[in-house]
Amino acid sequence: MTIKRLTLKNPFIASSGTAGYGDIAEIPLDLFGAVVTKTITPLPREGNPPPRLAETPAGLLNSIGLQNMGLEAFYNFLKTFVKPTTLIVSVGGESPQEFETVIRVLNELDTIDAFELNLSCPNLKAGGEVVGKDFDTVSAIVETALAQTNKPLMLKLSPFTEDLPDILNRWESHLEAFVLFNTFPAMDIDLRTGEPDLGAVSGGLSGPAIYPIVLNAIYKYRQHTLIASGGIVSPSIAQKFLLAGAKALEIGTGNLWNPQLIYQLIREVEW
Amino acid sequence: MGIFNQLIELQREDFGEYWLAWASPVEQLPLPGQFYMFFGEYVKKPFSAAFVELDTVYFIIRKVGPFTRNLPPTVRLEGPYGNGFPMDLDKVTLISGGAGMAPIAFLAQQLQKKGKEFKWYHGESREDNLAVIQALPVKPHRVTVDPVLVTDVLKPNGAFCACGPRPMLKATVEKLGTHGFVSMEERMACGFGACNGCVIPTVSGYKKVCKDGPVFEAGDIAWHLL
Repeated sequence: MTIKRLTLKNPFIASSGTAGYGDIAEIPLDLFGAVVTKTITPLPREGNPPPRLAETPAGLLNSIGLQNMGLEAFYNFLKTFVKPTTLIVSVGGESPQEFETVIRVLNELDTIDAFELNLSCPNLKAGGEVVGKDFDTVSAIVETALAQTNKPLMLKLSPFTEDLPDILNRWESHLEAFVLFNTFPAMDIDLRTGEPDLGAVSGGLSGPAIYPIVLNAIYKYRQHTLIASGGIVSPSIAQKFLLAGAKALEIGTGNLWNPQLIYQLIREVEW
Repeated sequence: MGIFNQLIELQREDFGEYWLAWASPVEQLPLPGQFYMFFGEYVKKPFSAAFVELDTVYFIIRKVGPFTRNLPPTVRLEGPYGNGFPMDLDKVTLISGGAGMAPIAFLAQQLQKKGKEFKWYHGESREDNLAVIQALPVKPHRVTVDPVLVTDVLKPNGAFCACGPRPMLKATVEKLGTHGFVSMEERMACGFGACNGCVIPTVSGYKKVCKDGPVFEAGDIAWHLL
């Protein structure tokens, strides 16, 4: 199957942050249509202080904080890496210039089939606001990325992105797909201490708790080229997203909970 | 690889504050310190193996939240995961507190099988919690109940292996130094190194409890950050 210039053997994509750099042996990544790496930033990031996880009904609350090895180490890693399937590199940064740096360096590597722009990276200079929160900030990053690469480009948006219809209309013809959505901003309070439960106070909610909200957005904007991401933990939820109009599906929490989920998806989902 | 997302029946016996639970048959037996991920209804949790008999793995599970209080009769099981304690230990002090008794009981069982010497100290918060000890194949030599702390009665004697609440581990290191091993606990989402959710601070940055641990050299942990 194809999504514009991106060729996949099936619509199931292992999502960023849940499959390492495409090197997690416990998940049979070779069976996926594609794998998206952890988000790569110009410099290594140690990530957020623990605890980074909190239990929540029908979901997973996390605040990993984009922990990654950084651009230079990742470039060297990829030079000898044998990818298990189509490889999509997630790119992050706190400014358009940081996105530019990562894509410019990695663009020459043939092993990379596409880039996914992670617009949910917090901009520390702007008080932790996500870098792509509205039409202008998203557009600045997309323009920068388009100037650096001819590889297929995907845009992964935060669920609370402002001006979403304008962004979809403006960039549809320039991008392979929009990924709706990244995790939902969320937190919890520890009743024993009365304090926020996560070390970083706020994190992101994923898992089946969010799938009906994401499904609503996919259906609403189905005239665009969309990849659904949010709570796909079973073949039945996967089928609903395809019926709603998604061209492909990103699986994250589902793989963490059940690394064998892909066998079920391939067997039971019609696409 | 042992069990991989296999739906398995959990037998159990109720010991008040604890369940003794067991699963069989298990093809690849775990090492002391290794753990299994239990996947219930949209929640996945790590539990250390507490001892083995033939092809059966036993768990000691403290009832602390909704999942453990209502332990489901069948769970999807994955494991064994993690590194485990080194098995070339002799003349070692074992220290456990509360549910930390599970991996230490397993270590005691295996050390005894090998004819190694050890002395095991175990601490509990309440007298009632001690009932589960009768189900263990090897029992602690010394048991304390709050307000007496297990770390109050420890006597330095060679290397140590410890598992329990962090204040207990910190007090152990303060008293015995860093010549030993600690099994660390942290919340986990996957159990196999993919999510980076279970990190703890070490002297060389964050390390994953699931993949780099759960057993660490005591000197590797950045205790001042815990």
